[in-house]
Amino acid sequence: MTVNEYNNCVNQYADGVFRFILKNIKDEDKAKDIVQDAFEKLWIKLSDIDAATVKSYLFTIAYNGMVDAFRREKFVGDIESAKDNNFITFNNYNDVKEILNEALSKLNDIQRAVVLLRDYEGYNYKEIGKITGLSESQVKVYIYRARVILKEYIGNLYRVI
Amino acid sequence: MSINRNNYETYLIDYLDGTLHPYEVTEVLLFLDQHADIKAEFINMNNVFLPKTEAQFNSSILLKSVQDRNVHLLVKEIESDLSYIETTELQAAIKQNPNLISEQKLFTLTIQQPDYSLIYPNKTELKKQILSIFWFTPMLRIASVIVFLSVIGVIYYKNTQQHQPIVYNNQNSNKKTKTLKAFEQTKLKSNQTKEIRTKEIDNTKTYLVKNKEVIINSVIVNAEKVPTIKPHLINIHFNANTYQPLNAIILNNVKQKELVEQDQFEDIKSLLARKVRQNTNKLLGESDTNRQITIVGLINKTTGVDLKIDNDTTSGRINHFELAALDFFWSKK
Repeated sequence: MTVNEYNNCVNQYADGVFRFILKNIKDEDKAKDIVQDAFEKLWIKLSDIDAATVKSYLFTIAYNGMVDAFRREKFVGDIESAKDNNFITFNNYNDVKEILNEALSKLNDIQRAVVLLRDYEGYNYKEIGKITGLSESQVKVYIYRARVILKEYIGNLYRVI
Repeated sequence: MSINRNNYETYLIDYLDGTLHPYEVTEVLLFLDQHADIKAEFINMNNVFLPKTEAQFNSSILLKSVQDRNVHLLVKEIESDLSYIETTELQAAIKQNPNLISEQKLFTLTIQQPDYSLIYPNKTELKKQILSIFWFTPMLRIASVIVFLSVIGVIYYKNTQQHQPIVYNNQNSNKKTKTLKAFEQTKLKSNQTKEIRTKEIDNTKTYLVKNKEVIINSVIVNAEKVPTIKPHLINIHFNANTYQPLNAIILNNVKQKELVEQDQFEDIKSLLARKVRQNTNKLLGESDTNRQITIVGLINKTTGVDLKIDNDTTSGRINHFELAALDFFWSKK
């Protein structure tokens, strides 16, 4: 990759990676740091990375950075606690978007990451597997479970509203 | 995907778990009938069961959801993963149970939409910039190459000047440097005897100018290029009135001295020039007055004429000196 291609990557992917991380980590400064780290690592490995695979590379690095951040700060997602909160949380939701954001926070880290990669970036199961280090079937299972939890949450909230 | 020898294990396990769809069950049974060895293996496997435990899976709701065929199909639908048969099956299920339509809508809502208002705040800090000539416009590229070559040329020229002094023979020109003119004017005013000498210098019309400081006769320039003899010059004698060089004593080897007559003076002049240059270069770098006197003495002895120097009163360094002997003139500031 050339310097120009690298700078194009910044234009093309920085926002996407930032959105993905921010949605997961919910801390703008940390998300910025993770994105910055990802691009720094890309810069170091510039000569080894093909322009065609750079997007996946960035998401992989950012995802790993995010997992490290979770570990460091003990942001341990717990599906059971998420389930407990499903039916007692009630806010004044203005629109579906807010409900979805709230629902998303009920997922555990991996579920949230795979769903966002699927929906935000349109990655297929195999690509998500590569980024997250999961097998294709594991990705399927995580997405399946995440969809069910999201649907349950949204459905319950609608019924309450 | 149809069942075959490569993937039958998955189907058999799903069959045992009771998660296969009826049409898949038919396919499995047909496959077992066609492959006696696998059927035997399957019968053996069917007899192996782990003992029941008291452990309970807490996420039973989740498990139920996984086992719910309709939910499975609805998820597959929003994942755009439904096969043709599964699509038909889902449509039939929705017909049978209209409540599934609301479920279907809820699943559609689970698809996350990116918030495009979220952007990385300062992308320029992520970008890298390497100053490269290839980023320039074509005109800038050409201009930078010209400037680069010019700089290299000037450096090369200066180096050449330092190591191999270029001699300008102004034989066909009466132009003089400002330094020379100023020098001559000063001398005209200051000393009557020097006036005669300065006029003689004017008449020679031949000067060597190096860095606008060194002025030397062209005859010596030629001698510099072709040194025919390399003796050591001991002394040179001039006519006291006319300043004509008469003869010189040279040392051809360590012991043998030789008197050189006037007709051989071209070579003597070259020696003279070299000697003066060597010694006066030492002189210019010297700030010690005693050492200066020694060097001046050496030059005087070598050339047979008096070298006049002008010291800086504070630093002791030499501001200017002058050596003149008829058509040989050397000055440095």
